[in-house]
Amino acid sequence: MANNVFKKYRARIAREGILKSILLSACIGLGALSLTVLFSWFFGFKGGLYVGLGLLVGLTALLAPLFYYKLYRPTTKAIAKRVDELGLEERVLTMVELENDPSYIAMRQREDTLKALGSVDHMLVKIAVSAALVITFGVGVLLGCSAITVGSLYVADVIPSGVSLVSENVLPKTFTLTYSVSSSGGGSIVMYTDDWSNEQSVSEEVIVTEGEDAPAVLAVEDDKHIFVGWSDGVTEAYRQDVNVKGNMDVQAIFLKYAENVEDAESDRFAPPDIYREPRDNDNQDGETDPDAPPWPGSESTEQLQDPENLGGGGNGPGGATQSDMGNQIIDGQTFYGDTYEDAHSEAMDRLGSDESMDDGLKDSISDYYDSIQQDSSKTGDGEGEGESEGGGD
Amino acid sequence: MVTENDIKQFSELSNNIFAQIKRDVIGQKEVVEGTVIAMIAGGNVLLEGVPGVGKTRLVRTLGRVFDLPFARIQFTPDLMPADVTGTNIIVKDDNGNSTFSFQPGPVFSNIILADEINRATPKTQSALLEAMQEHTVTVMGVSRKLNEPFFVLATQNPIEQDGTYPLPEAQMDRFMFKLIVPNPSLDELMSIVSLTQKTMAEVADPVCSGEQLLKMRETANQIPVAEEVLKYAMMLCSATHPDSECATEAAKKYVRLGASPRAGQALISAAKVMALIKGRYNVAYSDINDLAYPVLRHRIKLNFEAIAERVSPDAIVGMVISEVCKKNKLPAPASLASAPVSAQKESAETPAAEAAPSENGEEDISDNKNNKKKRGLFGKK
Repeated sequence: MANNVFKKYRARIAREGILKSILLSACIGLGALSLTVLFSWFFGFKGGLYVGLGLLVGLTALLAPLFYYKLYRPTTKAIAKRVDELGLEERVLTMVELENDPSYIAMRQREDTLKALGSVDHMLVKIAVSAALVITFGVGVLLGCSAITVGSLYVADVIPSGVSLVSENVLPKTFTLTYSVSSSGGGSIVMYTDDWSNEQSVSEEVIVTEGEDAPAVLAVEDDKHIFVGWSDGVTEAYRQDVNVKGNMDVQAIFLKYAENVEDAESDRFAPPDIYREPRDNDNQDGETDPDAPPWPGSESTEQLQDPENLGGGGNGPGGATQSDMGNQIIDGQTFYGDTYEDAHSEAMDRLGSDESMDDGLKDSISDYYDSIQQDSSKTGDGEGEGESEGGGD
Repeated sequence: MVTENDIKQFSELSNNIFAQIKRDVIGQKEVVEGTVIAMIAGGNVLLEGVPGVGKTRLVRTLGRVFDLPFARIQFTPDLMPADVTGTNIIVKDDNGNSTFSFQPGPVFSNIILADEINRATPKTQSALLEAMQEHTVTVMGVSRKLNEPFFVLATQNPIEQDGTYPLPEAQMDRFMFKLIVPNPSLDELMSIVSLTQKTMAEVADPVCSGEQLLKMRETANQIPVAEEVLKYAMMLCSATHPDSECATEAAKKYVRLGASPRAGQALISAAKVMALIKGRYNVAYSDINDLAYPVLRHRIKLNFEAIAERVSPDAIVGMVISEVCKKNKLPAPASLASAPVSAQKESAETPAAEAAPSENGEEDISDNKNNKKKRGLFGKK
C-alpha cells in the first residue's frame, strides 16, 4: 500500500538520488581526469588527455549506479520522512510503521494520513542536493576544464610541457664558462675555486648561475713564453668575470720568445766582452764553435752560480749576452743593451708577415713590445744619467 | 481496543472540557491546555506563579468540570503528614470496645489542590510521594488505595522564599508538568475584571466524569508513536544528562543532573494526548518539542555555572532541543528558529529573574512584559 501511495514521491526522490549519484561519481571522474591530464602534461605525455577523458567517462558510468544502489536509493522510510517534511507531522512515517497493523487506531491513522497526503502536491518535494556536493562538483568541473584546456594546448604544441616550463622559468639559468690556453700553447690556466684550492691545466670549465660571479682564473706562462692576453681582449693575466649573463669561451694567448732571444738566453751568463779573452774559434757573427770549450753561460746552473765561473759578470733575468754589453749592473741600474730592440724588431717582423693572426692580437702584441721598449728606453735614460753623473764624478 | 466511538467521545469531551474551563478561567490558554493534557495522561501538575494569577481558581474549575471529588490542602509549616494522609483514631463500637479506625485525610479525594506546597516541611511534602506515584497511602503499616483518577495539582509562589522549603528532587520528579502561570495580558485582565465585577461565582459545568476521563486516557494511550519519534523523545531526555552518550553541549555546560526516565514516560504519554486533542492519530516531533519544556524544566538540576550566568532551565531545554534537532537533521522548532539560543539566555536575565534568585536556580520566573512576549506553549520562555 505504501508503495502505491509513494509511487510519485518515490519517482521524484529517486531522481534526486540518481542526480546525487551522478554528481558524486562525476566528481571522482573529474578528479581522475584532472590528475591524469595534468600529470601527463607535466611529464610530457601527450596521450594523457585521452586517458583522462576515458577515465572520466568510465568512472562516472561505473560509479554512478554503484553509489545509487549503495547510498542514494530511497527507502520507504526515507521517502516517508521526506514527505513528512511537507508539514504532515510524521503521519507518513507512522503510517509506514503501522502498515500491517490491523487495529482500529492504525486504520484511522492511515486514513488520516492519506487524507493529509491528498492535500499536498508531490512536486513540493524538492530535489535537494547538498551544498557540499554541489561545491565539490563545481570545483571538479573547474579543475576538469582547466586540465582539458591545458592538455589540449599541449597536444596542439601551443604550450610546452610542464617540466620544460619549470626548467625555463622556475629553475635558475646556468652558463658555462671555459677558460683555455690557445692552440699555440705556451702556458696554463689556474682557477681559484671557492674552497681556495686551485688547479692548473690547459683548460678550465666552470658552470655559473646567472648573475653570479665566476671563480678567478690566472693565465700562467711557461718558460720562454709570455702572456699576451685573453682572446676577448682582456690583457690582465688574472681575471674574474662578474655578473655572468651568458656562456663564455676565452683562450689565453701566449707567445714564445724569438729564436735570437733564446740564443741570447743561452748567452746571458757569458762574461762581457771587456772581461773576455778573444778566442780563436770565435767567428765574426758571434756563433759558437761547437768544438770550442763552452762559455760560462752555456754551462750548468751550478757552474753558472759560481761567481768565480762568472768572472764577476751579472746573472739572473736580463743577464748580459756574449754578443753585447747588456745585462750589467752599472751604478745600480741594469743595462739591457739592445736585447729588447732585437726582440722587438723580430716580433714586429713576424707580426707583419703572419697574416693568419688577428689584427686585435697583433695590436696587443705590438702594444706590449712598445711598452717594453719604453721601459727599456727609460732604463737607458737613467743609465745615461747615471753615466753622466758617474762621468762627472 | 479503541473504537470509533472512543475517538469520537474523546474529541467531544476534550472540546467540552476546554469550553467549560474557558467560562471560569480567562486566558492562560497554554496553562489550561497543559493541565488538561496532564490530567488525561494521568500526571500531576505543579503550577508556579505569582499570587493572583488564577492558579487556585483553575484547579477548582478543573475539579468542577471533571465532576470529581475535590480537596484543597493549604500547606503551611505546621501541617503534619497525618493532616494530609489521614490517621487512625480510637473509636468505640456498639459494644463499647475501643478500636482503631482510619480517618482518611484529604488525599483520599480525586483531585487534590496542594496550595503553596513549598510552605510545608519536607516531612509533610514527602507524605505525598507515595500518593503521587503509586496512588496509595500507607498509614500504620496499612496501604490504602486512592480513588482513580487521582491528581495532585500543586501551586507554589516563586517570589516569597522566606519560610519555604524547596521541593526535593524526588517530589519534583513526580510532577508530570511544571507549568509557569504568567500574568494575564491587558485584554485578559480587562476580561477578568469585567467578569468578576458581575459575579465571583464559578459557572463551569461538569462535563466529564472520572470514568470518562479514564476512558479518554485509555484511548490516548493507543495513539501510535513512530520509532523515530520515540527515539527522538528519548534522545531529548537523555541529552539533558551531562554524562550520557548523547549529551549536548548545553547539558555539559549548565546541567548537574538531567531528566529521569520518568520524564521520558511523561513526555510520550502527554504527547499522545496532545496529538489526539489536535485530531491527529500519531505523535509528531512538534508535540515532543512543545511538551519538552513543561516536562523537563523542573527535572533539570542546574550547575553553578548556569546559576551564576542566570541561565534558566527553559533556555537550557531550548538549547538541548536545538542540538538534538541538528544532530537528527530535523528542522529546528519555529519558536527556537525565531529566537536563537543567545536570546533565550538573555531572556533569563530579566529584572524579575534577578529579583527572585533561588537556591537551586530553578525558580527563575519572570513576570515582565518582555518575557511574556517570548512565552510560547505552556508558558515557556
